[in-house]
Amino acid sequence: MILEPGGRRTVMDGMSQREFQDYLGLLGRLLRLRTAQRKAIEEELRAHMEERFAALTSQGIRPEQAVSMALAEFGDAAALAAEFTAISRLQKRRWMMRFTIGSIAATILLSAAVVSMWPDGSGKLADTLAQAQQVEKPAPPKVEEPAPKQDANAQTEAKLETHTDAEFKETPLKDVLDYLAGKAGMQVYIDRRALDDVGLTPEKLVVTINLKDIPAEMLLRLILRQLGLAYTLDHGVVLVTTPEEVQTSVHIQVYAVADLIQPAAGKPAAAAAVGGAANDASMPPRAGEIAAAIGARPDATELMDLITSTVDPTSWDQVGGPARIREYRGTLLVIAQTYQGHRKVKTLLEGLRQTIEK
Amino acid sequence: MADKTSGELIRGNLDLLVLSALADEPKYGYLIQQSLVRATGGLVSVQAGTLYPLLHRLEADGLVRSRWDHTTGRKRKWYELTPAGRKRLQHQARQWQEYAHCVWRMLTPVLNELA
Repeated sequence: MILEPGGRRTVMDGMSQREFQDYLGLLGRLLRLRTAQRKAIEEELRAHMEERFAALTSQGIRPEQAVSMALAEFGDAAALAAEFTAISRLQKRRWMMRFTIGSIAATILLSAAVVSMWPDGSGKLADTLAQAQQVEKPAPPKVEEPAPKQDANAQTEAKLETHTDAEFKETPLKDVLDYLAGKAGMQVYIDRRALDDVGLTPEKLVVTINLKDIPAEMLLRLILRQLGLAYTLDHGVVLVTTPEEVQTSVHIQVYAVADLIQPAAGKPAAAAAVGGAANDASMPPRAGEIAAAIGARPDATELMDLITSTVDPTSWDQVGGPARIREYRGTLLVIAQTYQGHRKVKTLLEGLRQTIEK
Repeated sequence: MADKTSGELIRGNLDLLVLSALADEPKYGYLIQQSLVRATGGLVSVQAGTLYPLLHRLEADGLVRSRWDHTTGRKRKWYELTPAGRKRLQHQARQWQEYAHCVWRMLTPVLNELA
């Protein structure tokens, strides 16, 4: 180390540099990334270490100590490498998802174009759309969702309410999940790839918990929280995975909201009555206000704003999240959300309908 | 006031704090760390091992973008907010304000009792 009395600048000696290099070399070997990405991370961290080292030594801390302090602030190289690797894969998966959504959209557009250019087809498409609209109008206000998936998930949700005892000490996660699956009569699947992405091996995870008579859902949540994991439901199967995966795996559902944004033709009186109901003492004023607001401004944008500001506000794409919401033909909302996100949207829409029906 | 609990409260919102550290100008990792220490009166010292994965995650989320720059004498990776990042920052700042306001109102009687 050379201390320059004037500028208080500290130049690193060979040994400190070697120690940083040892750490970064180990980190680099553990990063399961392309060489360019690996080098960039090493370079970025080295710059930080050297700057930190200089700051510490300029405060009068001995170089050996400064090196170990600077390194300690980075923590365990294996854990850090696992984090960087997981983030990079998450990004890759998102690109793939975007690509998939893009190609689905392109396919739909292309088919629509082909059908409309077909001599006899254009009429048919128009007929089909007209029929769809016809069906939509007189039908009672119902949220349209892919039925089988929804039913399967609803069944599993009911099973998750089963109460059970849990007494486990350092028991492998798989055994605990098998027990839980048997008790509640449901299927549980461990998303090995997602766990692997964050450097976790399912076989190495153990659970310690001792609780009596608690709902399976709570047990599942507590167990997974111990391990930094989470779950979601897919076609009725409990999927155990990482919180990142749960937050980013969105699926598309279509919601028919004609009844919420367009008062049905011939019913302006009903809308007025709803607005007037705000003064009715038997009804919470708040609900009346919401209904009145919707009665007064029948457009999808208003409803979309309501949804994006009340259901997981930070999950939507306008603020950089993975979820999306778009309106289609003025009366349909196409929403890409997580499993939990869709549940919340559904609850919100049901709440609005109940309020308006009153 | 500046005890462990408030430190934990703040750490729970690290994403927001890191975004806010980038609100006025681009910074590299070390500068972000230093500005957080300064801005929070030493209450928050984000460990390097936490900061860099967080920055990379924010970048993967499209909230910040980075570029390498040599002009300051050393090759460094500078981060800056993307428009989406600024939007998120403003959105979360507003949420925080509402939340803090709400808690403040709830706690005012308790605090008055203490005073």
